[in-house]
Amino acid sequence: MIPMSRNIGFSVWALLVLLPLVSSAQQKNKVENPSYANQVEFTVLPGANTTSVGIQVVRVRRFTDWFCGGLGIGFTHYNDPLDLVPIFVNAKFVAPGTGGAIPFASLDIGYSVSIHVNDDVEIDEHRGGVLISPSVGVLFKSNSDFKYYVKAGYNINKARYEQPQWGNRILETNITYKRLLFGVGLLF
Amino acid sequence: MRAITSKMLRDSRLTSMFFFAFLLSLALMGCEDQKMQTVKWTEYEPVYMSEQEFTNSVGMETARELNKPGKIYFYNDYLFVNEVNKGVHIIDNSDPASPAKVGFINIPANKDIAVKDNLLYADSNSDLLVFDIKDLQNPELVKRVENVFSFTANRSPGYPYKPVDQSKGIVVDWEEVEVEEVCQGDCSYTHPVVDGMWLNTVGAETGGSGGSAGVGGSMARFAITGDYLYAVDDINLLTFDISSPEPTKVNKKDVGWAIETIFPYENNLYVGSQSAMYIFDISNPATPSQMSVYTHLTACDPVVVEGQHAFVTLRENERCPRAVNRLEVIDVEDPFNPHKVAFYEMISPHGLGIDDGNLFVSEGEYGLKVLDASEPQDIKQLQYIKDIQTYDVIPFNDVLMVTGNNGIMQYDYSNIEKLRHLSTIPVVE
Repeated sequence: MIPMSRNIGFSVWALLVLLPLVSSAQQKNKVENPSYANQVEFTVLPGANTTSVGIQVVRVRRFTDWFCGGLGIGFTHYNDPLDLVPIFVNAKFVAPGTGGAIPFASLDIGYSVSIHVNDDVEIDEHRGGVLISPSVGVLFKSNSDFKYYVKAGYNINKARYEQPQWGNRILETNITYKRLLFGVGLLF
Repeated sequence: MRAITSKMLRDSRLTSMFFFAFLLSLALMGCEDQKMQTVKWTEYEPVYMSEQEFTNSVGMETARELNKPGKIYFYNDYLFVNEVNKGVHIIDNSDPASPAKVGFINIPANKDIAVKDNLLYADSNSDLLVFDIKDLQNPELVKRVENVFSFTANRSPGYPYKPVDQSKGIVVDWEEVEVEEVCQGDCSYTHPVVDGMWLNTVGAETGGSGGSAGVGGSMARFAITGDYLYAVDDINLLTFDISSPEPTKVNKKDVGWAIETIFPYENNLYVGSQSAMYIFDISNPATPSQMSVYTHLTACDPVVVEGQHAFVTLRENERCPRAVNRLEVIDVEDPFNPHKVAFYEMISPHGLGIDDGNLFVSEGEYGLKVLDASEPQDIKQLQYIKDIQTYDVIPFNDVLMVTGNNGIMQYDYSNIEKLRHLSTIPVVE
């Protein structure tokens, strides 16, 4: 069982590793490959009974004027009793245009790896599951190399865990997280 | 810079409308996390047999593999090995290095055995069966004494268990099954068991008294001395006159609770329970009389006696939680006043056997310990065989017969400091 401090540390580590990489790539991109960009996003996932937060980074490539795709990794704090680390493919459909606010539609599909964070809950085994997250948003351009956006969508994430019960009983719980999603992000 | 055409604007609006509709439909699925829980467990379920089948199925069959060996008994160079709830394996052990299976006596719900004068006594549910084994190739059932035992296969060997439905027949065995309960949301907390009682399914005959009787291990509930068969169930000490092939129950005595084992030595019976060791005087063999009780911490315990000392193993397990794991030495020179003189910490002690100061202690999955108990207050470990699973032992004429989950193992202990492995009759799943 991984302590929560290590879970957070793992996520921070992942971001710290990726950010310099994407920053250096950004530097490279300025000279060599202007179709790549990097995305950092913070999300809030309200549900019927609780709200979760998350963070993710995506390496985005612009394929056409209206389509971008990329690979991403994130961290979503459900604490129920698992947290999830989504690893996903991102597809973004951007309205062509040169205005300051550009609408887009986005779809994340991937798999979330589970992390046991709540030490008060004894768990024998745990496993993540599929991630599907469609959303729509608006991308705001600025004069600098940084763009920011806001988005709203829906997030479906699956996870599973087993807990020992009295005697030889095992309680298996299969969860499908169904949340609205609100996010703000930075493209650079 | 590319011009933005009306087509592009229309396309982007259409795309956004599509995704908005898509999001709306997803949102309509709800924003409540869905949880489905499944509870899985294993429990014991009774195996039933009709009364006719129960009676008619007793008989000799061809030799079969060991699957779940229970108690063992040694008589006239033959090993009799109980297959729990199934019957008795007959094994020619005239050469312990090369034991040979002779056959199998099918006895439903059988757990205990004893042999004297070519008569094999076996329980079958609540009945006592007597077999003439002069011809071991063709043992013959000569007598069934019905409803003499209160320990029956109705009691599950473990917990949890499915309650017995008497309308389905006679319970002759129990099998472990996996059970699943699926529910939306949180599972209700259900107990598949109302209450559980344990049945000691393991044990070997203790014995050695009576010139024509055999030798058993320390975990037995049967013991023969002279012309009497003594048997213990959960609460009673039963006495049978076996001077004729038709045994007669002559005495029944309420001993206590959770009675587990019996060991005869000279003119006494030593009865082990989860909380005490009882000493009975059988100088009048038909009517045992209690002399004393030595109480100990609640633990599962067999007992053997040699000289003026009794050796008792105490073990913690599901039936005896919060117990200790140790070997206790009791001075029984005055059987009216037994008292502990020493104890030794063990790992998971099960059955034990003693021969001329050489004490053998089964440590369950942790192996076998060979001890020098010639000075009971200063017992020394001579050897520790770790890579075997042991339940009970019979030391006899320098041959140590060991039963466990792996099968029946035999060792030459003529060199007590270094046992020599002779043979293994394996368990086949």
